[in-house]
Amino acid sequence: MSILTQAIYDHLAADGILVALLSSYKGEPAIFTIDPAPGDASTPYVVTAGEIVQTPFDSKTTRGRSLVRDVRIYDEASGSAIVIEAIAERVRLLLHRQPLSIGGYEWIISDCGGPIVADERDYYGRIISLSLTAEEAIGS
Amino acid sequence: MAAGTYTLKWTPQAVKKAVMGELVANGEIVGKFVETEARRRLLSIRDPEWGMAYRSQLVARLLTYEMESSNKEVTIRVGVRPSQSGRHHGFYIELGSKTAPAHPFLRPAVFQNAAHIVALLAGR
Repeated sequence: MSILTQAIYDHLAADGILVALLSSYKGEPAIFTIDPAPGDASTPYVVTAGEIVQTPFDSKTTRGRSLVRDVRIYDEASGSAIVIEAIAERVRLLLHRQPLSIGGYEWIISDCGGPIVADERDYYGRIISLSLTAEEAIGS
Repeated sequence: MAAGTYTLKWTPQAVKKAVMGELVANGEIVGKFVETEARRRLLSIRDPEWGMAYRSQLVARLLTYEMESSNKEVTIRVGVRPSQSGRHHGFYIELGSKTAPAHPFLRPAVFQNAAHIVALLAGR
């Protein structure tokens, strides 16, 4: 599993405001780390699975990674994008320049691009691109 | 001027012009390189199988680069051109949709090759 998957899930799922805006799936907040989400999942939900890019962030004495990952949000096209935009803004607030707790790594910096619109015929979509740099924790 | 001494005249405009000319020439190489990388990644996507013809015959054909230069900057854009049948070809391949997984091919072509792109821009 990516070093980031658990970290993002935990960070988003711990936020009560975001969880209240999302639906739930099998008793858990609808934040999926598989792509696409299960067919029986109800909207609105978040999908974040796998890195777009992953490059080394090494120095002579340290090892690290720079990653880019998309966080996608979907909701039924009901005629109003208020809910999906509130979710997207909340996700951005939670991830943009906010420290993440990543197992075995020390967070250095992260920032978000977007949200951008990715609407489909029957669903609204918003996408946030998270760029993150982390360094292996000393002793890990 | 005394023998053995040299005069070096620094003309900023001439230097800028020379640098810009080199960037434009090397930018063409970078644009073609990233376009080729993106196309290679696009053509290696196997899922979903029913989208193979769309990816290989339409999106790959519309994939291109363009360059713009002004006095102050050189811009290289790599992406999928709109066609008569739509304006967002490749968008949902790159970013995924509610029902289809993402298969990024544009951003990795740039970011996975960042060091090489910088070297090409520098003419190395």
